[in-house]
Amino acid sequence: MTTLVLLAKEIKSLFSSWIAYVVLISFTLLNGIRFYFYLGWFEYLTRKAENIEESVSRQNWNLLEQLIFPLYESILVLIFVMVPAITMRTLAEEKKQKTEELLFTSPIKTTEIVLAKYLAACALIFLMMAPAIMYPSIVMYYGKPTPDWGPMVTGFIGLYILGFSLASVGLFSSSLTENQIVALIIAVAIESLFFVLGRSTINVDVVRIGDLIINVGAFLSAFSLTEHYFRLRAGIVRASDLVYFGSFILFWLWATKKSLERARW
Amino acid sequence: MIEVENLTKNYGDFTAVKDVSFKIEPGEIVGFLGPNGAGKTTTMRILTCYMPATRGKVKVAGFDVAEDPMEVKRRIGYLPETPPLYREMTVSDYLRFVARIKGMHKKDVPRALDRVIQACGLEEKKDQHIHKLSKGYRQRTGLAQALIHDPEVLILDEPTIGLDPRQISEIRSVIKGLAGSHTVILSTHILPEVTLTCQRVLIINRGEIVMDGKIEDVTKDGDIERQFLKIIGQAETGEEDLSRETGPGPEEATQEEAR
Repeated sequence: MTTLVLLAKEIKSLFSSWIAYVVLISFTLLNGIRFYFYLGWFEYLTRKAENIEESVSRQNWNLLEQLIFPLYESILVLIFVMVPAITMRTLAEEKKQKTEELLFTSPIKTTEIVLAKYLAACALIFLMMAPAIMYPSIVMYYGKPTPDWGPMVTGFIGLYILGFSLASVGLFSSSLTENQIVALIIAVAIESLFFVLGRSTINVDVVRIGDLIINVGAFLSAFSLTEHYFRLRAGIVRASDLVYFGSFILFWLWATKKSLERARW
Repeated sequence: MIEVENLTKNYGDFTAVKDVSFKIEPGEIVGFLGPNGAGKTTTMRILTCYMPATRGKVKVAGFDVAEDPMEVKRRIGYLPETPPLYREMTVSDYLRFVARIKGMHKKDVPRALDRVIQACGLEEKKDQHIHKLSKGYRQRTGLAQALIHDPEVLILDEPTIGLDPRQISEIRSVIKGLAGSHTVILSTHILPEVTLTCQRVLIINRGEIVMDGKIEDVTKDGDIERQFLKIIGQAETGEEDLSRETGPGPEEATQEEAR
Protein backbone atom coordinates (compact mmCIF):
# COMPACT_ATOMS: atom_id res chain seq x y z
CA MET A 1 0.00 0.00 0.00
CA THR A 2 2.62 2.49 1.02
CA THR A 3 4.55 1.57 -2.12
CA LEU A 4 1.59 2.88 -4.13
CA VAL A 5 1.48 6.10 -2.08
CA LEU A 6 5.20 6.57 -2.68
CA LEU A 7 4.82 5.73 -6.36
CA ALA A 8 2.06 8.30 -6.82
CA LYS A 9 4.20 10.94 -5.17
CA GLU A 10 7.24 10.01 -7.28
CA ILE A 11 5.32 10.24 -10.53
CA LYS A 12 3.89 13.61 -9.51
CA SER A 13 7.31 14.93 -8.58
CA LEU A 14 8.85 13.65 -11.85
CA PHE A 15 6.28 15.65 -13.79
CA SER A 16 6.69 18.74 -11.65
CA SER A 17 10.27 19.12 -12.82
CA TRP A 18 11.16 20.36 -16.28
CA ILE A 19 13.37 17.31 -16.94
CA ALA A 20 10.36 15.11 -17.77
CA TYR A 21 9.11 17.51 -20.43
CA VAL A 22 12.52 18.14 -21.95
CA VAL A 23 13.11 14.40 -22.17
CA LEU A 24 9.68 13.63 -23.65
CA ILE A 25 9.81 16.38 -26.25
CA SER A 26 13.42 15.99 -27.34
CA PHE A 27 13.20 12.20 -27.56
CA THR A 28 10.17 12.28 -29.86
CA LEU A 29 11.48 15.20 -31.89
CA LEU A 30 14.92 13.68 -32.47
CA ASN A 31 13.42 10.32 -33.45
CA GLY A 32 11.05 11.99 -35.88
CA ILE A 33 13.90 13.82 -37.57
CA ARG A 34 16.00 10.64 -37.75
CA PHE A 35 13.17 8.63 -39.23
CA TYR A 36 12.48 11.29 -41.83
CA PHE A 37 16.09 11.43 -42.97
CA TYR A 38 16.68 7.69 -42.89
CA LEU A 39 13.56 7.19 -44.99
CA GLY A 40 14.60 9.91 -47.45
CA TRP A 41 18.05 8.40 -47.79
CA PHE A 42 16.64 4.91 -48.26
CA GLU A 43 14.29 6.13 -50.99
CA TYR A 44 17.06 8.05 -52.75
CA LEU A 45 19.43 5.08 -52.78
CA THR A 46 16.71 2.70 -53.89
CA ARG A 47 15.92 4.87 -56.91
CA LYS A 48 19.59 5.03 -57.81
CA ALA A 49 20.00 1.29 -57.44
CA GLU A 50 17.08 0.58 -59.79
CA ASN A 51 19.23 1.67 -62.71
CA ILE A 52 21.93 -0.76 -61.83
CA GLU A 53 21.23 -4.20 -63.26
CA GLU A 54 22.55 -6.48 -60.59
CA SER A 55 22.91 -4.60 -57.36
CA VAL A 56 25.66 -6.03 -55.25
CA SER A 57 23.87 -5.96 -51.97
CA ARG A 58 20.27 -6.42 -53.05
CA GLN A 59 20.02 -9.18 -50.50
CA ASN A 60 20.33 -6.86 -47.54
CA TRP A 61 18.60 -3.96 -49.15
CA ASN A 62 15.36 -3.90 -47.25
CA LEU A 63 13.46 -1.65 -44.90
CA LEU A 64 14.44 -3.68 -41.88
CA GLU A 65 18.20 -3.47 -42.31
CA GLN A 66 18.38 -0.03 -43.84
CA LEU A 67 15.69 1.85 -41.96
CA ILE A 68 14.42 0.17 -38.81
CA PHE A 69 17.72 -1.12 -37.42
CA PRO A 70 19.56 2.19 -37.80
CA LEU A 71 16.58 3.91 -36.20
CA TYR A 72 16.63 1.49 -33.28
CA GLU A 73 20.33 2.09 -32.89
CA SER A 74 19.81 5.82 -32.67
CA ILE A 75 17.04 5.27 -30.12
CA LEU A 76 19.48 3.15 -28.16
CA VAL A 77 21.97 6.01 -28.07
CA LEU A 78 19.23 8.40 -26.95
CA ILE A 79 18.12 6.08 -24.14
CA PHE A 80 21.74 5.95 -23.05
CA VAL A 81 21.58 9.65 -22.16
CA MET A 82 17.87 10.22 -21.49
CA VAL A 83 17.41 7.49 -18.89
CA PRO A 84 20.11 8.75 -16.51
CA ALA A 85 18.69 12.25 -17.01
CA ILE A 86 15.35 10.95 -15.77
CA THR A 87 16.81 9.14 -12.77
CA MET A 88 19.60 11.53 -11.75
CA ARG A 89 17.28 13.65 -9.65
CA THR A 90 15.28 11.05 -7.75
CA LEU A 91 17.57 10.10 -4.88
CA ALA A 92 20.13 12.91 -5.13
CA GLU A 93 17.40 15.47 -4.55
CA GLU A 94 16.12 13.65 -1.45
CA LYS A 95 19.60 13.96 -0.01
CA LYS A 96 20.02 17.57 -0.99
CA GLN A 97 16.65 18.72 0.36
CA LYS A 98 17.14 16.52 3.46
CA THR A 99 13.79 14.86 2.78
CA GLU A 100 15.43 11.45 3.11
CA GLU A 101 15.30 12.04 6.85
CA LEU A 102 11.52 11.95 6.59
CA LEU A 103 11.54 8.76 4.51
CA PHE A 104 13.99 6.90 6.71
CA THR A 105 12.22 7.81 9.94
CA SER A 106 8.83 6.72 8.59
CA PRO A 107 7.58 3.14 8.91
CA ILE A 108 8.45 2.20 5.34
CA LYS A 109 11.10 -0.20 4.11
CA THR A 110 14.07 0.95 2.05
CA THR A 111 13.01 -1.64 -0.54
CA GLU A 112 9.67 0.15 -0.92
CA ILE A 113 11.39 3.49 -1.46
CA VAL A 114 13.72 2.03 -4.08
CA LEU A 115 10.94 0.17 -5.81
CA ALA A 116 8.63 3.21 -5.95
CA LYS A 117 11.37 5.36 -7.42
CA TYR A 118 12.33 2.68 -9.93
CA LEU A 119 8.75 2.10 -11.08
CA ALA A 120 8.15 5.85 -11.42
CA ALA A 121 11.23 6.15 -13.64
CA CYS A 122 10.05 3.16 -15.68
CA ALA A 123 6.64 4.77 -16.12
CA LEU A 124 8.24 7.88 -17.58
CA ILE A 125 10.49 5.78 -19.82
CA PHE A 126 7.45 3.88 -21.01
CA LEU A 127 5.72 7.12 -21.87
CA MET A 128 8.82 8.55 -23.50
CA MET A 129 9.24 5.59 -25.85
CA ALA A 130 5.58 4.96 -26.59
CA PRO A 131 5.33 7.38 -29.55
CA ALA A 132 8.30 5.64 -31.21
CA ILE A 133 6.08 2.61 -31.88
CA MET A 134 4.71 4.55 -34.84
CA TYR A 135 7.91 4.11 -36.87
CA PRO A 136 7.81 0.30 -37.07
CA SER A 137 4.02 0.60 -37.49
CA ILE A 138 4.41 2.93 -40.48
CA VAL A 139 6.92 0.58 -42.06
CA MET A 140 4.68 -2.42 -41.45
CA TYR A 141 1.67 -0.67 -42.93
CA TYR A 142 3.17 0.94 -46.00
CA GLY A 143 6.21 -1.22 -46.62
CA LYS A 144 5.87 -3.42 -49.72
CA PRO A 145 6.80 -6.21 -49.43
CA THR A 146 5.99 -6.20 -45.72
CA PRO A 147 9.27 -6.59 -43.86
CA ASP A 148 9.83 -9.38 -41.38
CA TRP A 149 7.84 -8.25 -38.34
CA GLY A 150 9.54 -10.53 -35.80
CA PRO A 151 12.82 -8.64 -35.35
CA MET A 152 10.94 -5.34 -35.51
CA VAL A 153 8.77 -6.28 -32.56
CA THR A 154 11.42 -8.00 -30.45
CA GLY A 155 13.84 -5.18 -31.25
CA PHE A 156 11.36 -2.62 -29.98
CA ILE A 157 10.55 -4.59 -26.84
CA GLY A 158 14.30 -4.98 -26.40
CA LEU A 159 14.67 -1.21 -26.38
CA TYR A 160 12.14 -1.04 -23.57
CA ILE A 161 13.99 -3.72 -21.62
CA LEU A 162 17.22 -1.82 -22.18
CA GLY A 163 15.62 1.40 -20.94
CA PHE A 164 14.34 -0.31 -17.80
CA SER A 165 17.76 -1.87 -17.21
CA LEU A 166 19.52 1.46 -17.47
CA ALA A 167 17.00 3.01 -15.07
CA SER A 168 18.29 0.71 -12.34
CA VAL A 169 21.87 1.86 -13.00
CA GLY A 170 20.69 5.48 -12.97
CA LEU A 171 18.91 5.00 -9.66
CA PHE A 172 22.04 3.52 -8.14
CA SER A 173 24.17 6.45 -9.30
CA SER A 174 21.63 8.87 -7.89
CA SER A 175 21.93 7.18 -4.50
CA LEU A 176 25.66 7.89 -4.36
CA THR A 177 25.63 11.67 -4.40
CA GLU A 178 23.49 14.72 -3.72
CA ASN A 179 24.62 16.34 -6.95
CA GLN A 180 22.45 15.54 -9.97
CA ILE A 181 25.17 16.17 -12.52
CA VAL A 182 27.57 13.86 -10.71
CA ALA A 183 24.82 11.23 -10.64
CA LEU A 184 24.37 11.61 -14.40
CA ILE A 185 28.09 11.24 -15.08
CA ILE A 186 28.44 8.15 -12.87
CA ALA A 187 25.44 6.56 -14.57
CA VAL A 188 26.85 7.19 -18.05
CA ALA A 189 30.21 5.78 -16.95
CA ILE A 190 28.66 2.55 -15.67
CA GLU A 191 26.48 2.27 -18.76
CA SER A 192 29.48 2.77 -21.04
CA LEU A 193 31.26 -0.07 -19.33
CA PHE A 194 28.38 -2.43 -20.05
CA PHE A 195 28.08 -1.20 -23.63
CA VAL A 196 31.77 -1.39 -24.43
CA LEU A 197 32.32 -4.84 -22.89
CA GLY A 198 30.87 -6.67 -25.86
CA ARG A 199 32.64 -4.62 -28.50
CA SER A 200 36.08 -4.71 -26.96
CA THR A 201 36.10 -8.47 -26.55
CA ILE A 202 37.17 -8.95 -30.15
CA ASN A 203 40.64 -7.95 -28.99
CA VAL A 204 40.81 -10.28 -26.01
CA ASP A 205 39.57 -13.54 -27.27
CA VAL A 206 41.27 -16.54 -25.76
CA VAL A 207 43.79 -16.40 -22.96
CA ARG A 208 46.10 -19.29 -22.20
CA ILE A 209 47.47 -19.80 -18.73
CA GLY A 210 49.55 -22.96 -18.92
CA ASP A 211 47.14 -25.71 -19.87
CA LEU A 212 44.13 -23.65 -18.96
CA ILE A 213 42.37 -21.99 -21.86
CA ILE A 214 39.93 -19.28 -20.91
CA ASN A 215 37.68 -17.66 -23.45
CA VAL A 216 37.82 -14.19 -21.94
CA GLY A 217 36.07 -12.66 -24.91
CA ALA A 218 32.98 -14.80 -24.55
CA PHE A 219 33.05 -14.38 -20.81
CA LEU A 220 33.12 -10.59 -20.98
CA SER A 221 30.57 -10.34 -23.74
CA ALA A 222 28.16 -12.29 -21.57
CA PHE A 223 28.11 -9.21 -19.33
CA SER A 224 27.49 -6.81 -22.16
CA LEU A 225 24.10 -5.16 -22.47
CA THR A 226 24.44 -4.67 -26.21
CA GLU A 227 25.27 -8.30 -26.99
CA HIS A 228 22.08 -9.42 -25.31
CA TYR A 229 20.12 -6.66 -26.96
CA PHE A 230 21.38 -7.46 -30.47
CA ARG A 231 20.25 -11.04 -30.08
CA LEU A 232 16.78 -9.83 -29.19
CA ARG A 233 16.80 -7.44 -32.12
CA ALA A 234 17.71 -10.28 -34.44
CA GLY A 235 14.40 -11.81 -33.43
CA ILE A 236 15.90 -14.43 -31.15
CA VAL A 237 14.20 -14.59 -27.78
CA ARG A 238 16.32 -16.67 -25.46
CA ALA A 239 15.60 -17.32 -21.82
CA SER A 240 19.24 -16.67 -20.95
CA ASP A 241 19.04 -13.13 -22.33
CA LEU A 242 15.88 -12.39 -20.39
CA VAL A 243 17.44 -13.81 -17.24
CA TYR A 244 20.44 -11.57 -17.86
CA PHE A 245 18.31 -8.40 -18.04
CA GLY A 246 16.29 -9.49 -15.02
CA SER A 247 19.34 -10.10 -12.88
CA PHE A 248 20.95 -6.90 -14.16
CA ILE A 249 17.98 -4.87 -12.88
CA LEU A 250 17.75 -6.76 -9.59
CA PHE A 251 21.47 -6.37 -8.97
CA TRP A 252 21.43 -2.57 -9.36
CA LEU A 253 18.25 -2.18 -7.31
CA TRP A 254 19.85 -4.24 -4.58
CA ALA A 255 23.00 -2.11 -4.80
CA THR A 256 20.84 1.03 -4.52
CA LYS A 257 19.21 -0.30 -1.36
CA LYS A 258 22.59 -1.17 0.14
CA SER A 259 24.01 2.21 -0.76
CA LEU A 260 21.07 4.00 0.90
CA GLU A 261 21.43 1.95 4.06
CA ARG A 262 25.18 2.33 4.21
CA ALA A 263 25.08 6.09 3.81
CA ARG A 264 23.53 6.45 7.24
CA TRP A 265 26.02 4.34 9.16
CA MET B 1 8.77 6.15 27.30
CA ILE B 2 12.32 6.67 26.15
CA GLU B 3 15.12 4.63 27.66
CA VAL B 4 18.70 5.17 26.64
CA GLU B 5 21.39 2.99 28.15
CA ASN B 6 25.11 3.44 27.55
CA LEU B 7 24.58 4.84 24.09
CA THR B 8 27.76 5.38 22.08
CA LYS B 9 28.10 6.54 18.51
CA ASN B 10 31.37 6.68 16.61
CA TYR B 11 31.96 8.27 13.24
CA GLY B 12 35.20 6.60 12.30
CA ASP B 13 37.66 7.69 15.00
CA PHE B 14 35.45 10.48 16.25
CA THR B 15 33.09 9.72 19.11
CA ALA B 16 29.99 11.89 18.78
CA VAL B 17 28.10 10.39 21.70
CA LYS B 18 29.88 8.77 24.62
CA ASP B 19 28.16 6.31 26.94
CA VAL B 20 24.99 8.36 27.35
CA SER B 21 22.15 7.13 29.56
CA PHE B 22 18.86 8.78 30.40
CA LYS B 23 15.23 7.95 30.85
CA ILE B 24 12.17 9.97 29.93
CA GLU B 25 8.77 9.26 31.44
CA PRO B 26 5.54 9.38 29.42
CA GLY B 27 4.07 12.85 29.11
CA GLU B 28 7.29 14.69 29.89
CA ILE B 29 8.59 17.60 27.86
CA VAL B 30 12.35 17.54 27.96
CA GLY B 31 14.69 20.22 26.71
CA PHE B 32 17.87 18.97 25.12
CA LEU B 33 20.62 21.56 25.40
CA GLY B 34 24.20 21.70 24.30
CA PRO B 35 26.68 23.66 22.22
CA ASN B 36 26.99 22.98 18.48
CA GLY B 37 28.54 19.62 17.81
CA ALA B 38 27.75 18.27 21.28
CA GLY B 39 25.86 15.27 19.90
CA LYS B 40 22.26 16.47 20.11
CA THR B 41 21.34 15.72 16.51
CA THR B 42 23.22 12.42 16.56
CA THR B 43 21.28 11.28 19.64
CA MET B 44 18.00 12.34 18.06
CA ARG B 45 18.82 10.54 14.84
CA ILE B 46 19.46 7.34 16.77
CA LEU B 47 16.19 7.72 18.71
CA THR B 48 14.31 8.10 15.42
CA CYS B 49 16.01 5.06 13.85
CA TYR B 50 17.59 7.24 11.19
CA MET B 51 20.92 5.68 11.97
CA PRO B 52 22.11 2.84 14.15
CA ALA B 53 24.06 3.24 17.38
CA THR B 54 27.59 1.88 17.67
CA ARG B 55 26.88 0.52 21.15
CA GLY B 56 24.14 0.72 23.73
CA LYS B 57 20.47 0.04 24.09
CA VAL B 58 17.75 2.46 23.06
CA LYS B 59 14.06 1.85 23.67
CA VAL B 60 11.36 4.19 22.42
CA ALA B 61 7.70 3.66 23.30
CA GLY B 62 8.58 0.20 24.57
CA PHE B 63 10.34 -0.98 21.41
CA ASP B 64 14.03 -1.41 20.77
CA VAL B 65 15.26 0.82 17.93
CA ALA B 66 17.59 -1.89 16.64
CA GLU B 67 15.12 -4.77 16.84
CA ASP B 68 11.76 -3.19 16.04
CA PRO B 69 12.51 -0.02 14.06
CA MET B 70 9.17 -0.17 12.24
CA GLU B 71 7.21 -0.14 15.50
CA VAL B 72 9.30 2.74 16.81
CA LYS B 73 8.91 4.73 13.59
CA ARG B 74 5.14 4.35 13.72
CA ARG B 75 5.09 5.95 17.17
CA ILE B 76 7.38 8.93 16.67
CA GLY B 77 7.07 12.28 15.01
CA TYR B 78 10.35 13.86 14.02
CA LEU B 79 11.21 17.37 12.99
CA PRO B 80 14.84 17.42 11.84
CA GLU B 81 17.05 20.50 11.88
CA THR B 82 16.12 21.20 8.26
CA PRO B 83 12.40 20.54 7.79
CA PRO B 84 12.14 17.67 5.27
CA LEU B 85 9.87 19.41 2.77
CA TYR B 86 9.15 18.62 -0.86
CA ARG B 87 9.36 22.04 -2.43
CA GLU B 88 7.18 21.23 -5.41
CA MET B 89 4.19 20.09 -3.31
CA THR B 90 1.46 22.16 -1.73
CA VAL B 91 1.27 22.22 2.05
CA SER B 92 -1.83 20.02 2.26
CA ASP B 93 -0.62 17.58 -0.43
CA TYR B 94 2.62 17.24 1.47
CA LEU B 95 0.89 16.65 4.81
CA ARG B 96 -1.44 14.11 3.22
CA PHE B 97 1.58 12.28 1.81
CA VAL B 98 3.33 12.23 5.19
CA ALA B 99 0.16 10.96 6.89
CA ARG B 100 0.01 8.05 4.45
CA ILE B 101 3.66 7.02 4.76
CA LYS B 102 3.33 7.17 8.54
CA GLY B 103 0.81 4.38 8.10
CA MET B 104 -2.43 6.31 8.59
CA HIS B 105 -5.59 4.99 7.04
CA LYS B 106 -6.92 7.03 4.13
CA LYS B 107 -10.21 7.85 5.82
CA ASP B 108 -8.48 9.25 8.93
CA VAL B 109 -6.33 11.66 6.96
CA PRO B 110 -8.75 14.61 6.40
CA ARG B 111 -9.49 15.00 10.11
CA ALA B 112 -5.81 14.81 11.06
CA LEU B 113 -5.01 17.30 8.32
CA ASP B 114 -7.53 19.85 9.63
CA ARG B 115 -6.24 19.37 13.14
CA VAL B 116 -2.55 20.05 12.38
CA ILE B 117 -3.29 22.86 9.95
CA GLN B 118 -5.26 24.57 12.66
CA ALA B 119 -2.74 23.80 15.41
CA CYS B 120 0.20 25.12 13.40
CA GLY B 121 -1.60 28.15 11.96
CA LEU B 122 -1.38 27.06 8.34
CA GLU B 123 -4.97 27.81 7.23
CA GLU B 124 -4.00 30.58 4.82
CA LYS B 125 -1.10 28.68 3.30
CA LYS B 126 -2.51 25.19 2.94
CA ASP B 127 -2.90 25.36 -0.86
CA GLN B 128 0.38 27.13 -1.52
CA HIS B 129 3.46 25.46 -2.90
CA ILE B 130 6.11 24.93 -0.28
CA HIS B 131 8.86 26.66 -2.27
CA LYS B 132 6.85 29.89 -2.05
CA LEU B 133 6.60 29.80 1.75
CA SER B 134 8.67 31.94 4.08
CA LYS B 135 11.03 30.29 6.53
CA GLY B 136 8.55 30.64 9.36
CA TYR B 137 5.81 28.85 7.47
CA ARG B 138 8.21 26.14 6.35
CA GLN B 139 9.11 25.54 9.96
CA ARG B 140 5.42 25.32 10.84
CA THR B 141 4.81 22.88 8.00
CA GLY B 142 7.70 20.83 9.36
CA LEU B 143 6.10 20.78 12.78
CA ALA B 144 2.70 19.88 11.29
CA GLN B 145 4.39 16.97 9.53
CA ALA B 146 5.72 15.66 12.86
CA LEU B 147 2.30 15.95 14.49
CA ILE B 148 0.03 14.63 11.75
CA HIS B 149 -0.20 11.01 12.86
CA ASP B 150 -0.59 12.03 16.51
CA PRO B 151 2.53 10.17 17.64
CA GLU B 152 3.22 9.17 21.23
CA VAL B 153 6.73 10.55 21.07
CA LEU B 154 7.81 13.79 19.44
CA ILE B 155 11.41 14.54 18.66
CA LEU B 156 11.95 18.14 17.62
CA ASP B 157 15.31 19.50 16.56
CA GLU B 158 15.18 23.26 17.10
CA PRO B 159 11.46 23.68 16.42
CA THR B 160 11.28 27.47 16.83
CA ILE B 161 14.28 28.43 14.70
CA GLY B 162 13.50 31.17 12.20
CA LEU B 163 10.16 32.13 13.66
CA ASP B 164 9.11 35.60 14.78
CA PRO B 165 8.25 36.22 18.45
CA ARG B 166 4.53 35.81 17.93
CA GLN B 167 4.99 32.55 16.03
CA ILE B 168 7.44 31.32 18.65
CA SER B 169 4.90 31.78 21.39
CA GLU B 170 2.24 30.08 19.25
CA ILE B 171 4.46 27.07 18.60
CA ARG B 172 5.44 26.95 22.25
CA SER B 173 1.82 26.80 23.26
CA VAL B 174 1.25 24.00 20.73
CA ILE B 175 4.12 22.05 22.28
CA LYS B 176 2.98 22.82 25.82
CA GLY B 177 -0.48 21.59 24.90
CA LEU B 178 1.04 18.21 24.10
CA ALA B 179 2.29 17.71 27.66
CA GLY B 180 0.66 14.84 29.46
CA SER B 181 -0.57 13.01 26.37
CA HIS B 182 2.72 13.08 24.47
CA THR B 183 6.36 12.69 25.29
CA VAL B 184 8.46 15.44 23.75
CA ILE B 185 12.19 15.92 23.37
CA LEU B 186 13.16 19.24 21.90
CA SER B 187 16.59 20.59 21.27
CA THR B 188 17.13 24.30 21.21
CA HIS B 189 19.71 27.03 21.27
CA ILE B 190 17.36 29.49 22.87
CA LEU B 191 17.98 28.91 26.56
CA PRO B 192 14.95 30.76 27.98
CA GLU B 193 12.79 28.57 25.75
CA VAL B 194 13.65 25.59 27.90
CA THR B 195 12.36 27.30 31.02
CA LEU B 196 9.20 28.35 29.19
CA THR B 197 8.25 25.03 27.59
CA CYS B 198 10.03 22.18 29.30
CA GLN B 199 9.67 20.46 32.62
CA ARG B 200 13.08 18.89 32.55
CA VAL B 201 16.42 19.65 30.99
CA LEU B 202 19.24 17.48 29.69
CA ILE B 203 22.51 19.21 28.94
CA ILE B 204 24.93 17.42 26.67
CA ASN B 205 28.50 18.47 26.04
CA ARG B 206 31.11 16.69 23.92
CA GLY B 207 28.92 13.65 23.68
CA GLU B 208 28.30 13.30 27.40
CA ILE B 209 25.32 14.17 29.58
CA VAL B 210 26.58 16.76 32.03
CA MET B 211 23.29 17.78 33.60
CA ASP B 212 19.93 16.09 34.02
CA GLY B 213 17.31 17.65 36.22
CA LYS B 214 14.03 19.45 36.70
CA ILE B 215 13.86 23.05 35.51
CA GLU B 216 13.25 24.31 39.08
CA ASP B 217 16.41 22.60 40.32
CA VAL B 218 18.53 23.97 37.50
CA THR B 219 17.28 27.53 37.82
CA LYS B 220 17.28 27.88 41.59
CA ASP B 221 20.87 29.19 41.65
CA GLY B 222 20.27 31.86 39.02
CA ASP B 223 19.01 31.91 35.45
CA ILE B 224 19.51 29.03 33.06
CA GLU B 225 21.94 30.91 30.84
CA ARG B 226 24.48 31.28 33.60
CA GLN B 227 23.92 27.71 34.71
CA PHE B 228 24.42 26.45 31.19
CA LEU B 229 27.68 28.29 30.69
CA LYS B 230 28.92 27.21 34.10
CA ILE B 231 28.25 23.58 33.29
CA ILE B 232 29.69 23.70 29.79
CA GLY B 233 32.75 25.43 31.23
CA GLN B 234 33.58 29.02 30.50
CA ALA B 235 37.17 28.13 29.69
CA GLU B 236 36.21 26.30 26.50
CA THR B 237 33.22 28.30 25.31
CA GLY B 238 34.60 31.74 26.13
CA GLU B 239 32.84 35.00 26.72
CA GLU B 240 32.26 35.86 23.07
CA ASP B 241 30.44 32.59 22.41
CA LEU B 242 27.81 33.60 24.89
CA SER B 243 25.67 35.32 22.29
CA ARG B 244 25.99 32.47 19.81
CA GLU B 245 25.12 29.79 22.30
CA THR B 246 22.00 31.60 23.39
CA GLY B 247 20.86 31.57 19.78
CA PRO B 248 19.07 34.28 17.85
CA GLY B 249 17.11 36.61 20.08
CA PRO B 250 13.56 37.59 19.18
CA GLU B 251 14.84 40.53 17.14
CA GLU B 252 17.12 38.46 14.97
CA ALA B 253 14.39 35.93 14.43
CA THR B 254 12.11 38.68 13.17
CA GLN B 255 14.71 39.83 10.68
CA GLU B 256 15.16 36.35 9.41
CA GLU B 257 11.45 36.00 8.98
CA ALA B 258 11.27 39.28 7.07
CA ARG B 259 13.85 38.07 4.59
